[in-house]
Amino acid sequence: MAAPFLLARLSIRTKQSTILPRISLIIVSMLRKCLFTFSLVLLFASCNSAFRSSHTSVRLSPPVAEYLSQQTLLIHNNQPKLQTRQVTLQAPFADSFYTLRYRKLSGNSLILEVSDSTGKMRNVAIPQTKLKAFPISLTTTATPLILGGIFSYRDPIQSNYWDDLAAIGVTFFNASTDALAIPLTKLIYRHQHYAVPTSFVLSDLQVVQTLDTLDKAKLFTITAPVNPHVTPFLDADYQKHHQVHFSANGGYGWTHKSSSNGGSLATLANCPWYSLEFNVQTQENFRWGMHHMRNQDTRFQSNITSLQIAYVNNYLRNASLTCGVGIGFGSFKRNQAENLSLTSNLLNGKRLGPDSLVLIDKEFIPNLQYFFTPLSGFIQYERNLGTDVAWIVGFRMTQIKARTDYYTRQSLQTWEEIAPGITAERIQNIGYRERESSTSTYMVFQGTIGLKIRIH
Amino acid sequence: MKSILKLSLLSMVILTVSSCDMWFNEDYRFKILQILQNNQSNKVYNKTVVSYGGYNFNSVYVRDTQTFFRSIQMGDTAQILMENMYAVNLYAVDTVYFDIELTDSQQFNAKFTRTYIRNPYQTLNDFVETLRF
Repeated sequence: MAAPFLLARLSIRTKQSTILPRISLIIVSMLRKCLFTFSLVLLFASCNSAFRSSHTSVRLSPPVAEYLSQQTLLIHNNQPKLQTRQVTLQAPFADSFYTLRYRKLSGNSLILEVSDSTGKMRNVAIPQTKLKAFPISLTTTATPLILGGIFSYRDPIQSNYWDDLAAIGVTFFNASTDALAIPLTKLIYRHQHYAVPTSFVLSDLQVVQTLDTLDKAKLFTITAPVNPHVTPFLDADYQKHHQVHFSANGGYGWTHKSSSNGGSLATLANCPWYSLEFNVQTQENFRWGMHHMRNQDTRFQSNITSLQIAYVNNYLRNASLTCGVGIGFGSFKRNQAENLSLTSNLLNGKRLGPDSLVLIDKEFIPNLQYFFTPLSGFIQYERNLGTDVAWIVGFRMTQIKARTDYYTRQSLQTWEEIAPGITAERIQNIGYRERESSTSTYMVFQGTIGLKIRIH
Repeated sequence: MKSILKLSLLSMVILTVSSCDMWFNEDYRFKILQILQNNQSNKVYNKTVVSYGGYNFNSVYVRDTQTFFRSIQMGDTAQILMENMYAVNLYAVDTVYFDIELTDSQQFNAKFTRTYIRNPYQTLNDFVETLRF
């Protein structure tokens, strides 16, 4: 019988079904991309109205308030399909102004109808503005966080059937809920989009004093109020405007390991980072948007997309100072790391004799992608170069979870003297090859410089 | 809405089917590499008889023997590599014996046996042994 001698090289076979897993991965990948687009669409249509106050109020100066307290008041929308609201006069609370409070009514301009006991009337225009804010819905709040949590448990080698199923389930449940809730909310709370601007004050008594009803021309000629303090966010007609800011940044990031689980032996290199962001600003001091950044390095690859909110300080001349925080969805893939060889004189918790030694070989596994939920904070100085262009100098801190994987194999090395002058040195592998994954949390401190374009 | 439901159902079916096997497996292996290193001041003659037993294709237990004759120059090495012992001809090879005889033209003479036992609870069994004389 022939001896079973075959000189074959070490071969490790990856047992994978070929076609179907690839299709599923493509579908999951496509769904992720669709989710991102879908999230962007939903950013502009949401359930905010459900969380808004159902009442709004007009500020009144004391003489106007005193006069109106003696009259009959009614607010209506001045439309063919007339809708009216009862009003109540309230004493000053935090400032010296009285308020005329009423349940919200949709429309950019309402009419306050003032009637006195003698039958005289006056129609006063009350401006209203359509409110804009960060859209609160399941898709823009809970979904990214839940998906970030689910994907952080994904194993890049093993099957992630239940994770993927849970992610798809959560996404479709939340998106379907939003798809129903958003139109329904818009219908039910259609009036709550509107509010009287806080800068509008009825301070002139002549504007509200009643007129003789015989003078029809005067009675029905209603002067629209003009905003004396026009800003980029509130025009002369008291209508809100928002700005969209696009910016591109480049910078360098220094990494600092803040914690490590399982003793990661590979570090994270300092390297250049690039980012793109868009923000929506609806108020002078508040901005929200999306920020995407990635690093430029051959040793590891990380992509981070975050939703962020920021406070904008405008006290500087021709410039602004912005600081904010963000949370989002990040991926990490390590491409290069050293293979390692270690020795130990412990085996299964027992100390070995002088004739034995445990050899530990760690073979780095490249290109395994992991997901995590990064937190970030930033501060940046923006100086205007022109009307709608600014340059930015900033500092950003981002938390990154770095994973490093090794195949670990242990061997036992023994020495033996067979006869005088004859020794045997034997190396025998022990146990199974195991995959060892270590997680480290890093803070990346980035200094950035960039350019911003503002679109009105 | 219908298309979303269809897409989700399709994804679930594909994920169910595709989740069958994504594990990373190793081949079973029992490999022995023996290196003889001659530190004597003369050429050493070596006779090694490798013997082992296992089951053939007819499920009959048989023993197999292979004999090697080498002469190893002063300061030189000789090697015997046994690989893929699981896969060819014999199954369930558990123990391999190397009966070694070393002689030179002078007084040096040694005869001993080295035994290599496979651990059935691990997929990979690699032995590398260096004998120095």
